[in-house]
Amino acid sequence: MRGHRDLRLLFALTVICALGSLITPLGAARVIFAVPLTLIFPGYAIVAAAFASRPLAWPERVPLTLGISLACLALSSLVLNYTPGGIRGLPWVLILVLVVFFCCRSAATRRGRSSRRRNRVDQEADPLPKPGKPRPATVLLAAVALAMIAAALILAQATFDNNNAAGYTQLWVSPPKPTDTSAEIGVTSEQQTTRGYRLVVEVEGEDSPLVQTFELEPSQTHLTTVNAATESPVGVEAKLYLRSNPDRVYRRVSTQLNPAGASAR
Amino acid sequence: MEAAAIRRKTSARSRGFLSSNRVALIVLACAAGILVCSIANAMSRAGEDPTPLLYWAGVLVIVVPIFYRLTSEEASPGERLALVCLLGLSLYGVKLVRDAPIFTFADEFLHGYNSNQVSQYHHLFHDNPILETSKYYPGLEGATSALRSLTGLSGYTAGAIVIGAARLLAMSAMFVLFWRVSDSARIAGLGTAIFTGNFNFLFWSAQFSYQSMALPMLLLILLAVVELEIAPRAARGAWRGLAALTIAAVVVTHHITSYAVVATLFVLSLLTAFVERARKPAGPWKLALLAFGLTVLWLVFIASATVEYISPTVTNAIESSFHTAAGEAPTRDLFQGATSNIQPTPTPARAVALLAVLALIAGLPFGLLTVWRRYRQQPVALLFGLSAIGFFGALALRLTPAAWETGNRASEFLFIGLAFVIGCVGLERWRPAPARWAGRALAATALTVIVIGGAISGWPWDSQLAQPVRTHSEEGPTISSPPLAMAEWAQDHRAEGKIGALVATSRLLLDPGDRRVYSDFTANLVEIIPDDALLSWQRELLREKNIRFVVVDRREVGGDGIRGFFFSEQGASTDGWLPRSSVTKFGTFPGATRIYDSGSIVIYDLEPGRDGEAEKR
Repeated sequence: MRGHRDLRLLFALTVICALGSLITPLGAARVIFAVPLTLIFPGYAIVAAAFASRPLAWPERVPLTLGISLACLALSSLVLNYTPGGIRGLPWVLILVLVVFFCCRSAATRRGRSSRRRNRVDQEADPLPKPGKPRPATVLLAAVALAMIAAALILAQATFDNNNAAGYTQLWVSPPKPTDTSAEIGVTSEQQTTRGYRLVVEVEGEDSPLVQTFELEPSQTHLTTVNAATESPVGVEAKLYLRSNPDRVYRRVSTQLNPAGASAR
Repeated sequence: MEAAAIRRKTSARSRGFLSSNRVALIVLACAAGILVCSIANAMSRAGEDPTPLLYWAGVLVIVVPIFYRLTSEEASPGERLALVCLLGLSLYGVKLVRDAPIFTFADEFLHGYNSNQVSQYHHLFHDNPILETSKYYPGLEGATSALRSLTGLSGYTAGAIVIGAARLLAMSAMFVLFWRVSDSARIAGLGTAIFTGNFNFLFWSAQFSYQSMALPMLLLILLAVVELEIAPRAARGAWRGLAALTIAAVVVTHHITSYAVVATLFVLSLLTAFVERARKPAGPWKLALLAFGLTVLWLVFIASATVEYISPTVTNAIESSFHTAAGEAPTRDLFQGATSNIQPTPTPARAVALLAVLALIAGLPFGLLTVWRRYRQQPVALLFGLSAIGFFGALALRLTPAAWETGNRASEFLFIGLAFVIGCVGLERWRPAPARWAGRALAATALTVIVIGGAISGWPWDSQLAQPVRTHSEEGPTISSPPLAMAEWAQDHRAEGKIGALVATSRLLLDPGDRRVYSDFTANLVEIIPDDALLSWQRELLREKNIRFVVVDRREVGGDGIRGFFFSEQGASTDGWLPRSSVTKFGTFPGATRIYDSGSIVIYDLEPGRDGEAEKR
């Protein structure tokens, strides 16, 4: 790649981004390295190799760089799928660095071969228009625009109060496994305000049900564990009542317990 | 005199400021528009019920300055390219600020699940229980896995970046394609801007789904084909190679787009032979053969299940179209709410949507005339003309209930040609003596109507703004919507066994629930769950499919892949809920237990204590 500054720079940037995306501890910061490494450099390198003997006009370069990068990622994932390491960070870095390296080498070799034509071709090529030095007003406007975008995204991520959203309560029992001799019964409040509840758990074959009264704040969970005391499977039924409406069953769940253990606690 | 001079000087200064900072000001307008849309969505999530005008004002702030500038003669090709890219990304920003930020579009959950599977198991082709076909087209998930593996980002964030890149690709590729075909950067800019008026552009095509990545690649293939014709001989091999690479990527990314690539390349070859009056194969026939070969190979050896998935949809669409045309079946009502509780689209919004279609119809003959006069020697331009006419055929399919989806999918591909044809109309060059600005103003207005009308037609009116999936309760802590809380519970309380659910709950059980859930495509659960009684064939089917858990979502929107993920409003009517018997019928299943109850959503365990062996059957 000697004598081709653009290709050397591209490969150097690829290596920096590859190392950066592997070494940087913070995931969000790795995005700065990973985005060009995945979405720009492979496409740029492949296009450079393909059009080595005849530089490409800048308008084509934009979609080609992006599109070929995406195509390269889609096809490389198929290749990685059949390698021993599978689709992981390190294999991705290796394959992308290799793609960029071999494409840069190929571009450099082919440019060398057609060096006699290069001068003429360079004159014909449509180089990327160089942006002028930005004016202070332009910089200010761009900064305000960036601040607005940031505000819009922060707002989009925020969770708000919404007193109009209908709250509710979950009553659940853990799905039993074949070896389970106990069951966990939970009440989770997704209500807007603190509510009072009465939980009645009836275990088949036991005279008196387990009764619990409690209050739950929004997003709080109340847990109860029930064990079986008999030698045969027994049914368990839990009923939840709202303290504000004590006569009507509000929620109901049931389960079966395997033998062993003690009574409800 | 002095005051007039000062006024002139001030006016000249402000003109100078405007012209020297024009692009920066347009960027600022786009940022302001996204912020306004974000505020409208935030208000909607907070239950403030903002006026839709606020949201549409945000969209207008984005599109109007860009459209007006694109109609000018002075803008350079570089500026036009920057403007259309800015337009595409800004409208994508409108979608992003609507997200929760979690996936809230029905297809996103399917691909989000696939992406999670790749991250979890480090391999492609893991089962997708709802849409089996999607696992055979892993291009999108493969590309996303690169970002996820390297950064640890969530599927949502990595997916948003990949789709953003695809959106940028679509806009830039289309601009250069139209520019090369028309030899006019003005037509290219306008045509690309018109494409944002296709019904699916704002939301459906911006979701994390395979077509969102494949369609932009189709545009790149078309660009390569055009460049093949005009490039010097030395560069043709390079274009051919890059086109082949992109074709291969499309084949592994999306079935319908790969068929569209094959069809497009064959039609282009025929048109080239027609234009050149050639007796032997002409145009991109080698690429067409390559696309055909790769598509067939992939279909036969990897994705044979696709035939089973697509053929009923296409067959139903054809049959339904014939029945509707013969008057044997009713037409589909446009702009109607899916359920009784959902208000239909307001009349002014319908008027804008219809006006958009009328504007397209009005522009079509003028555009076709220009295409025929100036570009009839170019096969791609002829293809655009044909697809522009075909678009209105696809539009007619929207009136047929079973063909609606097929028409909707086809319309997006056909709109590419329509955008070019309408871009050729040249209304912006009309300069009547009394008002020289009239043509530009009219063109910019028509463009705005097309984009706003397209957005209204493409997504239900009541769902343009975000609804809450999470909210702060009155006392502070965050609470989740009933289906999301159920999915999170299912994720926390893992048990061996497949789950059957209606559309909304099934999507959330896939992602974030990460559970094996069956629903609309793979089992008849969307018919079994709402029924009043459990019939013997239904019991057999549940056993046959090894469904251990059944999630009964009684809400009217439980089967709705657009509205079913959110909180309902306090005091909302429950008249449309499924009857209680649709829940209790599962209690008659021998040994079934009711393990979850949140009022609107109930889960039954049909085989309590089943071990993992049954799952493996």
